[in-house]
Amino acid sequence: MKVLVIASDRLGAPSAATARAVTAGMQLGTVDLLAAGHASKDKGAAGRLLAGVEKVIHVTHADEFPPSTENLASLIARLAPGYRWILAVHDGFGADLIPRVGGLLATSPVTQVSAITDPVTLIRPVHAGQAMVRVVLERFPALLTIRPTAFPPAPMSSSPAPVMELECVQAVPSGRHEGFVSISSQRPDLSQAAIIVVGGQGLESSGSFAAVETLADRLGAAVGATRGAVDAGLASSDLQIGQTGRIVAPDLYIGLGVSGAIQHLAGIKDAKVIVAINHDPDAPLHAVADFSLVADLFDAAAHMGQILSKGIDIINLKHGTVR
Amino acid sequence: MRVLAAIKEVTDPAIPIHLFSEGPTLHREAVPGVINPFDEIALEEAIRLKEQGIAQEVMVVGAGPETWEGTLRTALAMGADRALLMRMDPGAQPLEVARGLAFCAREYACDLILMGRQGVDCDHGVTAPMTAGMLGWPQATFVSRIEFDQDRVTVMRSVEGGQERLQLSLPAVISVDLGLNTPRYASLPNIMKARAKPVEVLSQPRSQGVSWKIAAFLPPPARPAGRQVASVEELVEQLDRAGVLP
Repeated sequence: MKVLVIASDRLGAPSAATARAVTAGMQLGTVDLLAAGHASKDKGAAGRLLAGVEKVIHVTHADEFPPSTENLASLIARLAPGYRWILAVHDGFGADLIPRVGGLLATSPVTQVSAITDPVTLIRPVHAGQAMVRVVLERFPALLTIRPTAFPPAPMSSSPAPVMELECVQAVPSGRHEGFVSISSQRPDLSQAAIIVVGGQGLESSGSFAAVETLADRLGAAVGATRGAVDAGLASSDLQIGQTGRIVAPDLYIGLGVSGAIQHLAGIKDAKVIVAINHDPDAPLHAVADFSLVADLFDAAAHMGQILSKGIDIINLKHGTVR
Repeated sequence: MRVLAAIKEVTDPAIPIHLFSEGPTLHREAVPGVINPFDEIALEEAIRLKEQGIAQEVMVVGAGPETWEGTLRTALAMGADRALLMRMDPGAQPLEVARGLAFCAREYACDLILMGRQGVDCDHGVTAPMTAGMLGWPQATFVSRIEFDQDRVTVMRSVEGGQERLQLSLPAVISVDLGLNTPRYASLPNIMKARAKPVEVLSQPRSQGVSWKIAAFLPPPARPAGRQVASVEELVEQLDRAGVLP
């Protein structure tokens, strides 16, 4: 049975998250990939090389700007009878598009799917990951968004899938795209970063986020903040991690002066390795951290930066494997 | 302009969940209900639009059980002009909620629907676009800035890597993100006044059935126990061994 996977995202270049959505799609049935928005041709070209994609639907449009979510949702609703599942990544595009299709098809989507048990049984987090639910699909076509971090990318294929072109007509009252303002930061985006350094209220005594930013730059990491740090005016709210902020899943999370309030912990549960650096031994983050260091965060961050800038040789010395 | 601010009552997110047992309902200790934090931001924005003379009326709508009346009164105390309870089962799926909101928007000739980007209990994040789709109205989600000019509204959407600027014509549906504003606290005199205001009650439109069923609530995957390190050197060594350093 067929799955329609929507390539990510509407405004960006071909995204690695698309290959992860294809993996999720393959766990359900045979995958067609729909490529729309900016660089839709590039997305289609990249998508046809993903193993498991049977066909690419390349959405063309006459206007200068990419088709609106409103018009794309109408186009997908027309394609829906040919599919048993319609799936996108849960990002600013997929989470905007899929529910609108749900409104058109009178189906509640299942969002942020983190595991597929079988083609009708899905696992998703609720209460920001404090509990999971097992959901059984009852109505088809079913609409899903997936957590990209929960699925590995589909491998490349040597035989490209065929491409079909489909024009998106602008027929529905829509928001008009007026531009995109990139975050000026040279640092990676929180949702993509392999390493995230997060500052909490412990930074308040210094009146700035400098200690967090310096260590982050040493590691090539993204910068995140707790709600307490945002409320204290130390960081902007788009850096906030937690239940009401961003949910992150880096390989390495380093919390500097982060107490570990439940709302914050809810946003970092999927991190592979959690490090807590806090002078307060009773900070709840210590209890969930893989490695906890009870120390002054400013001294520790500076010291860690020094060691890292000298390279890994020091550590190799300690291991006894001198290069 | 009449603004419909949709709110959901959620269990206080500051109180952690301890799952009592696996099963089709969430067994946990009783927790007080509050306005969903994202909806509170949407309601605050609606009230500010009225204070700026851009909106004439703010109607707050809750699609849920009758026990939500207290939460709707809190919304009145914050500054909503009138409150409507669209009576539904506590576990109503987003499809029913969106249908209820679309019905209210038509019935009361609303020009703008504002709500939070997601409820912090079920974390679906689908109601705003579903409602917009049903109404055939333009939509903007994850909005962190709203500017009005006559009957046009320009918004900034917080998405991966930056902000998308979108211009919408009314009527429209907007879901809001953090950073838009900081909601006010209701003052004691306003809380007293809100007690006297009516909360209108509407009955749920006939259900369209469920799209899925919850088979079980499960505990989240457990993390392995951590260890304490004595020094920064030891920490870096451990992280290097774990292969997570660049």
